[in-house]
Amino acid sequence: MSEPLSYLGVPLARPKVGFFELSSCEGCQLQLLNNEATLLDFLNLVEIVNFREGMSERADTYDIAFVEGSVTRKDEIARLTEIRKNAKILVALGSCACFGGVNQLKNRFRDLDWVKKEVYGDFPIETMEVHPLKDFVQVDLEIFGCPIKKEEVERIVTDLVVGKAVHHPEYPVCMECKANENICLFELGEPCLGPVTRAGCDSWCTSNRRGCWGCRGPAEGANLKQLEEIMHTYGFSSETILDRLECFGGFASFADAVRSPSPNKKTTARRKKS
Amino acid sequence: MPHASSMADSHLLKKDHLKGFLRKLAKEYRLVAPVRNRHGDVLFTVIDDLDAVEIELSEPPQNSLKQFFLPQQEQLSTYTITPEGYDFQPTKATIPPTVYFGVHPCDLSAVLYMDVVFSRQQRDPFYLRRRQGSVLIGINCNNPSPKCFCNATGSGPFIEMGSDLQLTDLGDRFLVETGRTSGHTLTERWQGFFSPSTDKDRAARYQAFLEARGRFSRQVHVEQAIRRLEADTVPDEVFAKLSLRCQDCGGCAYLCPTCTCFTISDQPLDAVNGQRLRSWDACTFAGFTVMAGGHNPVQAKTGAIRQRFTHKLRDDVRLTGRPSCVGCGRCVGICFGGTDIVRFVERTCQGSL
Amino acid sequence: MKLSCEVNVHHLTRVEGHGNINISIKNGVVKKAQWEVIETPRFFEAMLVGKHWENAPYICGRICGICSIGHTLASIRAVENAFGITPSTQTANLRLLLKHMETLQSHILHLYFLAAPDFLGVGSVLPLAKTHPEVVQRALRLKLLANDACDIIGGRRLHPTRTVVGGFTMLPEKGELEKIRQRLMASVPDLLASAELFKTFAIPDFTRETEFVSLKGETNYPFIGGGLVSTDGVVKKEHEYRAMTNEYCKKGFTSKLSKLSRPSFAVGALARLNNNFALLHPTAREISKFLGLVPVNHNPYMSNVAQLVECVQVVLDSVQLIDALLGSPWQEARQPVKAKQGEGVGAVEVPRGILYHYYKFDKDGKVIKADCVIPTSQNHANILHDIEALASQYAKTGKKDREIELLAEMLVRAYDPCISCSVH
Repeated sequence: MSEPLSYLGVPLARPKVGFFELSSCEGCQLQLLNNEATLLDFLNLVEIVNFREGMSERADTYDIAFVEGSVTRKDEIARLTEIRKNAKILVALGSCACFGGVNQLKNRFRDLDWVKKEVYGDFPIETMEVHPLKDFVQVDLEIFGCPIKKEEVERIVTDLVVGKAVHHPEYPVCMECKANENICLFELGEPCLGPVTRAGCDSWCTSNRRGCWGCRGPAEGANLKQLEEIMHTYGFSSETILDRLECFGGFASFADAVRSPSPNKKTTARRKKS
Repeated sequence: MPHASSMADSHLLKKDHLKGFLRKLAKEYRLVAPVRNRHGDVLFTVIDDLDAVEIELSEPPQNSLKQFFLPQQEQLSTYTITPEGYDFQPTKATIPPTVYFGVHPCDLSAVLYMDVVFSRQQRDPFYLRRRQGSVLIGINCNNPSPKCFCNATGSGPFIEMGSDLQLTDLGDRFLVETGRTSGHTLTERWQGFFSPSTDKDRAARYQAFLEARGRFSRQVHVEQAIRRLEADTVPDEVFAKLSLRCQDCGGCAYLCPTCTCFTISDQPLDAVNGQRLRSWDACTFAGFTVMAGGHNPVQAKTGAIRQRFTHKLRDDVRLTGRPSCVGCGRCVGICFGGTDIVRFVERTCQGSL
Repeated sequence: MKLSCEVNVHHLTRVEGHGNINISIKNGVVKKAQWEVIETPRFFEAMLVGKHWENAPYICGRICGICSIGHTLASIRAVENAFGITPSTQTANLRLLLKHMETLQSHILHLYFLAAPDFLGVGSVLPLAKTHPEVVQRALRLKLLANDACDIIGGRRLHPTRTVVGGFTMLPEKGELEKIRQRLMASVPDLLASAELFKTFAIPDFTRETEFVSLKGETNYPFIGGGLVSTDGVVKKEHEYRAMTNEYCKKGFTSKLSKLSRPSFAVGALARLNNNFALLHPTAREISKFLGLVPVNHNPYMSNVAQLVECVQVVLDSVQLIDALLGSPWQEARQPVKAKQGEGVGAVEVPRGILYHYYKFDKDGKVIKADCVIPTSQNHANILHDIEALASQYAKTGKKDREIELLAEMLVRAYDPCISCSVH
């Protein structure tokens, strides 16, 4: 399928790549299949050995494992540990894998039995508090976003293949949005976390006049306290801000700061260090 | 001085003839002019079909000319990795000769500033290639917008330098002053569109200037802020307080017609090929002054904000005799946190007025 | 002749989500024929409780990566029904167009990337890129068109950004719609070529009489809202969806299951087509007949064909929708929303079948109760019964393990199951 690759004259092996998913919508993997224009070039760069959503063949060793989704049941810990063992590099793919994603919204409720009962009634079903991958295994690289941006994944994979260090932007989405010459959504009455959210999505939502919900987690210098004050002056309530902060889990500690104490809700989802 | 109409020559251009004149120009030049987009925003836009658009001169465009001479991102070179190392092939992008029509005095001043920046010590071939062959047609501001304060920065509302042709709206007609040789060439080449101006027209221009000067809705004491920066008497807490509110979005620097800082990065395209890119940067960004190895000589946010205003209002005055803030007010509009230059000037001057 | 067979498929591939197939045949007698759904549940209905209404479409769209547009639209419709909001004609047309493009995208993905490799005897689409480059290019072309259209209308092909309660945050440019229209017209030969290709596929000969449930169109082939119908003659209103789905839990399934007149029923392209054949565009109807699909068809493998027919349907209908949108000036993109106490249901035909979202709001517009009934969860029981019948039909034929395994896998894939969605 491809010419042998080389870097500075040294032949490079096409890395064996596997895609895996824990609890998720599988949208991040789909983003890669959705890559009509560059799909074939991308396939040229790597050797996909495990991609359940797209192919029947499977292999048990791989250089790079992309893991989508968060851990929400005990058996997933064992699966994740196994994947970690077989992979040289483990990449957390998407916000669920990096922060818990929308799945962690259920951690708002202290009472997991209530959660189960609300959905399944008395039928017994197994679940646990939602965790990102890094709570259980070493994660070598995180790719943020709900969904991930395919261009970013391709750039990162290219960097990995040629052995270049991978850098995430430290600046906020707000900057990309300004660079895209958008009018500030605050002026349109739309709440937005763009000023505190890590860039890299090329202001995907805000360029479509949809406020940012912070799916990529906080930027390096996220100045949330000031943003909260600024948003209040634009007439947005703390609850509106909180809805966005707690949606994907990347702002968990920030959400705690904004959240007003409430008797039947958790105040902190404590995280184990890996 | 603005009232002493020192431009060598002046003509009249009837408003009815404007489109005809531009149509002629568009045959030989690429045309860039302010046009309202579907969201209602006025932006300098490359015009392909003059008949399909309405040129909007009533309000200042949201973008400046910066992006045309210094694009947000441009390729400086491509490279190939060979066993011997990197092989660079410089990119030589040119743009067709372009007429920029409807440029307000603030933006004209900004272009003059950029010309200095990009040719002062080392000539920047990328900027200069784009700037070459450009024709600037300015328009004086009869109605400064509420955000404007070019009267405080010496760059408006009327201007007499920087453009090839300078227009003043006199109701049913424009007074057209020709500044440079290239301006004369244009009025001579298409003289059918122009008629001679009279003393009455020039008096009307002066009257328009006086009225425009009275229409600024605020007084921003830029001069005084410059003096205080020069004397180093701006209290630290002014910078500290403004820094707190900065959300690091870079909007001020992006929209600013005179912010020209950039960063250069290499981007691999595949295993052996890549490109070297230059992109806009902003001195307020956390990583702006980080050096190889991770050391940052500028102290976090407070230092970055201090750097921004000191550069614009003190260092550039030392260098060029005038501040590089042109009073266009764009940063005032974009900064939702209130860390704009007007806020800085106001805080700096507090208690001393 | 070999009359025993063991099939154990753990984590079936080329489907969305995690499911297992287990078949055990001993001396021509079926001992076990199972379809298990082991996906981890994510508890979306609980997540929403206490949340402000604007969260519902944003969060619920994330139930599924493939049909996120369908989920978002069903969720928006439920909220609008609860608040008594009627979308403008422009909004309704744009939403349907967006829906069509998701249907096209999803069907093409399924037909070419997930289903076709079985019929062409390969494990994935990757080898086809070498052996059948024109087929892969055609699939990519059609998918790219659908995805580009979703980007232009919904802002993003996956987890759309512009779709909100009340309308859209932003409208597409008319020139962009015009380009999509041209590409849609140009895609017709690709669809005809697809029909020719699928005509050559050997569709397994297997039927089991089934009840089919879908929306019932009045004048148009239905996709968004309207009455509910089954081939067994059940007719219900949109808000009576619970009487149509009768959800229950069962061991071996982390998803809920559904039943109606019989122990199971089917939803999806085949169900829609069986219930609304007369409403198809004449060209789509002709192609359906050309491929041997005439209602009521009880062969689940024909779902693939039904999807292909629907591709033609949505492409032709999209052209008409674009003409209607281009024919009048843009109106306001979004109407104001006023929350009120109440409940609402949104029923939308997503690629895999009928999807229901239900919410109950308090006076501040906060969710008190949420319920989402997913097409694949409605199909699970039917898949299970199909596998049982399939095992019985082939128990005494002496087919090899691998042959039965492949037939079972193809059967499940024909339903195009979206398992993580069904468990949500």
